[in-house]
Amino acid sequence: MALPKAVYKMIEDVVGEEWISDDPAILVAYKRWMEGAGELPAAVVMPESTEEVASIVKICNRHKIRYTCFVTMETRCPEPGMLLFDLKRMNKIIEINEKDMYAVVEPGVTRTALAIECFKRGLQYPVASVVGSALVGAIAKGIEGHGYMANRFSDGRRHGLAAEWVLPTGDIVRIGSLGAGAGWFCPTGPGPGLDGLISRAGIGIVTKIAIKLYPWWGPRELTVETLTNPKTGAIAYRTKLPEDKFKLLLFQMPSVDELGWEESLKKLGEALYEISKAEVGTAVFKLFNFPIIIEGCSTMEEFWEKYVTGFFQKETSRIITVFIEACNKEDLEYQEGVVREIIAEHGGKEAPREFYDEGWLIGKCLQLDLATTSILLGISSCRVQKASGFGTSACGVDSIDTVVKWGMGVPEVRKEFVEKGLILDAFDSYWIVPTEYGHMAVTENLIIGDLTVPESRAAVLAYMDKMNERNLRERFPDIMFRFHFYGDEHVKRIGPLYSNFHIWQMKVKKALDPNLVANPKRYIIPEE
Amino acid sequence: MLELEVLIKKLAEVVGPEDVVTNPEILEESSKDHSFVKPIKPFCVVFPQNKEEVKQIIRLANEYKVPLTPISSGPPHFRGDTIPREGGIIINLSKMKRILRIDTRNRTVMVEPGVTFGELVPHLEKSGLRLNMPFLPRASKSVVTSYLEREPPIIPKYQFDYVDPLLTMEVVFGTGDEFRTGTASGPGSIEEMQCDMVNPFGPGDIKYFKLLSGAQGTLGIVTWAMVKAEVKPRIRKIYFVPFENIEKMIETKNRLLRYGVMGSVADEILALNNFNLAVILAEKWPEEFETLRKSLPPWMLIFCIAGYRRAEERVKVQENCLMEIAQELALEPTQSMPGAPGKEKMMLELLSKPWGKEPYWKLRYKGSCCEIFFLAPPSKVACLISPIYEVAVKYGYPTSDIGCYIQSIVQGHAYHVEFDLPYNPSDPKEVEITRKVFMDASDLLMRMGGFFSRPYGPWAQMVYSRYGEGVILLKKVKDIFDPNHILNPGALFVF
Repeated sequence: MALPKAVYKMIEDVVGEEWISDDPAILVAYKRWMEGAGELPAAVVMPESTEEVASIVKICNRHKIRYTCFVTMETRCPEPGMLLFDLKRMNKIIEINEKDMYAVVEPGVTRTALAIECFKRGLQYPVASVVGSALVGAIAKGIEGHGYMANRFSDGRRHGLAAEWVLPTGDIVRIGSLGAGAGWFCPTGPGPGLDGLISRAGIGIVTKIAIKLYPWWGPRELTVETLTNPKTGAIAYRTKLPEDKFKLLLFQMPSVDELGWEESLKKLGEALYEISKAEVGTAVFKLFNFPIIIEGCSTMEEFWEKYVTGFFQKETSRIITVFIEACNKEDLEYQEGVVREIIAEHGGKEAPREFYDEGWLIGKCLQLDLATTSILLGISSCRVQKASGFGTSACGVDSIDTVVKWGMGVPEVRKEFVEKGLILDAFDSYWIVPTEYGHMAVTENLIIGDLTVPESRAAVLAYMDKMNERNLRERFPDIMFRFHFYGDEHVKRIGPLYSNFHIWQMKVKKALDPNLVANPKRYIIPEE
Repeated sequence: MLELEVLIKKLAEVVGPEDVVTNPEILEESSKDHSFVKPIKPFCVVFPQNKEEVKQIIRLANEYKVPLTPISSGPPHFRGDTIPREGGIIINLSKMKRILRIDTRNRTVMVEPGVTFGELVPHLEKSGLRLNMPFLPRASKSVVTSYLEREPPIIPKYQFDYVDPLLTMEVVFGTGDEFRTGTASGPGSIEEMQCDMVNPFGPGDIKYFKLLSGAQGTLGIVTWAMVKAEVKPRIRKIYFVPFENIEKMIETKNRLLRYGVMGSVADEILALNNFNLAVILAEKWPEEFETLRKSLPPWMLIFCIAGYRRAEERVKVQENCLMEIAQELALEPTQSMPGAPGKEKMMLELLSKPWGKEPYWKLRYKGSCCEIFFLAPPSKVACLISPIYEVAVKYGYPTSDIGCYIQSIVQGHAYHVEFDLPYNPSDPKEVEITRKVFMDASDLLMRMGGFFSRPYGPWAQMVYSRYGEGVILLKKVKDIFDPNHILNPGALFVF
């Protein structure tokens, strides 16, 4: 479905002919999505400024053209015939304010680019995603991400400050202190926090946003070493940080073999509570073991060879990772001492050395200095996607106890799909990331399937549905942000169980986007 | 029978006749506070005791199109937000007093709006927890209101955004509909849910906890809130650094919040000028106050170093970090208070408790006090201090009577700056001078970049007249959650 010619022309007049396209060869590149294909957009437009965005949005509103934005990991159009905004050209870091510790960025700035610029100034942007290439603009779209460093810095939901926002009508609103002419430092107020409305690109497009930064005690420039695997020729990157201020620690907690699924998980949860409550460890988390395995291998063949031995499954069940950033050696020693004490109290032990050092190079085991790069910059090799594909299931962010309880049901749900050979028995591919000194925690369960095989793909989706049903049946909080995955009917069904939030959301949507043009499927569509 | 009398009768049927007050003296008391907002009397004060009663009162207010002004805290009130700007009913939530949950494992507390700091703090202490409290709130201050109105807590390292430590809430919107925010929203009833209701975001795509914050009850009435509590430290040491110069004090504060274990040397950290500190510390009034205000330095930076697990070791690391900073900045932090030796223990206690004595500390000097407060980024704080003194001189207000309090917030990303202007409420001339200083200084500070993020009283008009684009949006929001505009009309000026 194409845009009406007159509309296309008007948008072309705004951005110039080279920045809009309806060439099928280009459009198809915007169709891919992690769980399968999305819909083909009618056209892709790449505006350069807030003014251009506002003008295009006004045209869309006037002609009732539905649109959405492209950001990494969130590429698809939910329905055919939409205009897709690709905001990559809006990639300026407008300001890094060292005194007030914030950066003002456009939505096309990548997390990694911002992090590196911050290091140069003795600051850090705690990358609120496990994917460094994801755009900072994802915050503006509501895909705020969690990242690893949430224990000390919280997650992306708390990082945004004042913002410039183009409403679905094309009006530009400045949120927080910016609107009152007081600069970028505060997102909330005056009076009620209108920043509570910015999310999901369902109500307009954020074109500039300030992001909180934090002090950085590491080198102003990260030196990156390229490692080449002597056997396979595969490469990986490693960053070495000063050993008196930074430390990555891996602990094997009592395993599933030793204590069983539930008891071992409880034990691990207890340790997470204690570490985060002791206020140590910038990043504290239990990682999915599947990525640990796959990142430790240099080729997929190597992965499969090792996977069938069962070694990884045994050694990496119940691992806690702790990344310490310290202002000096004494601080480092203190934090490490506390962490080790808690781990010991909970029956854990440090992972073997080959989990750290040259394991990857000698093809022996895991190379987890790579994890440092991943934690700080969100860069990973993304081999997990190359493995075949994945889906995820989760419950909503809540306490560590809640996500531990939720995780206890994973084996039961997984069983039927594994037994039929439709998904991989990705044992313990379930993560827990405490945030805000353990006041909350994030969880996710990776479902590894072969998305090129229709039966496997269907199984991944069925697994996700089954987990959602379990959330509902056992009264776990829903993930509450993935409505577009499951459709309006699902939302209408669960809405009454969640304080009828869908009705309020519909009212807000109608009030701010009367023609329902802004990413309507991402939001809930009011009854038309 | 007058319609008003019918309404009062219906209210009495909801809450019981003893909880609908029409006593002229109470109505007179409810009509005014220490702000310069014009006094207006409500025609009754109603005291609900549970959510169902709140819902029914809101429905009646909608039916009769009568304004409803919520109050939770006890007096004294300072900001005009509890004055019924268009008359009507005051809904006083002070009888909703249940502490519904103290969760030591997840460090949270769930309270109704009538629970005050004076009531909650001792309960938490017994559980080994503490609140990240605002500085010396009155004992009668509602915990829920304080956090809902984004009052600045005194331990910035725990505050991840401007609404933290507020988590989830139950609210009755202006429509009379009940709603729960974040993971408290569902699925199903609270008893059924498998969660601890600690995630404030959602449900769905809207961050209701942000939208409801700073709203002065104009969108809904909160019937309980879950807020964060923190671990009570095993060791807590207080330090003082005197300053003549505000710039250097701000620089020191910034440094203390950007170094040390997990990025902060300090737990509680704040600064007071000599006037406010003397008002707070004086035990024998007024002699000791007069002595203290002379002996204390112009500015005092006060902060605590705390130890949790391996407490001595942590405190040692933090103290070494402090000494590194002190050496670089040529400072001498001490554990004894310069200008007020012997008051250290008292100060340490004051940092973890509400003000329990009468009168409230802000009223000690002259019987009344007017507040000016705003937010500013670290780089702007110092230049936003002197304007008030210039305005005070212009109107003949004694500059030595200006109290000042500076609070770092949101992990050191911003500051709450507060001026306290005491005045004698019985002296019309002094009242008028103070009012002029308040109005002119507020306007000047706003124009210089102070962010009046909580626009009480006359500030609402000043702030929103500069923020047309936001006002349009706010009005749309108001029309959704309170379509008949019965909740605290006039408080935010724009609706």
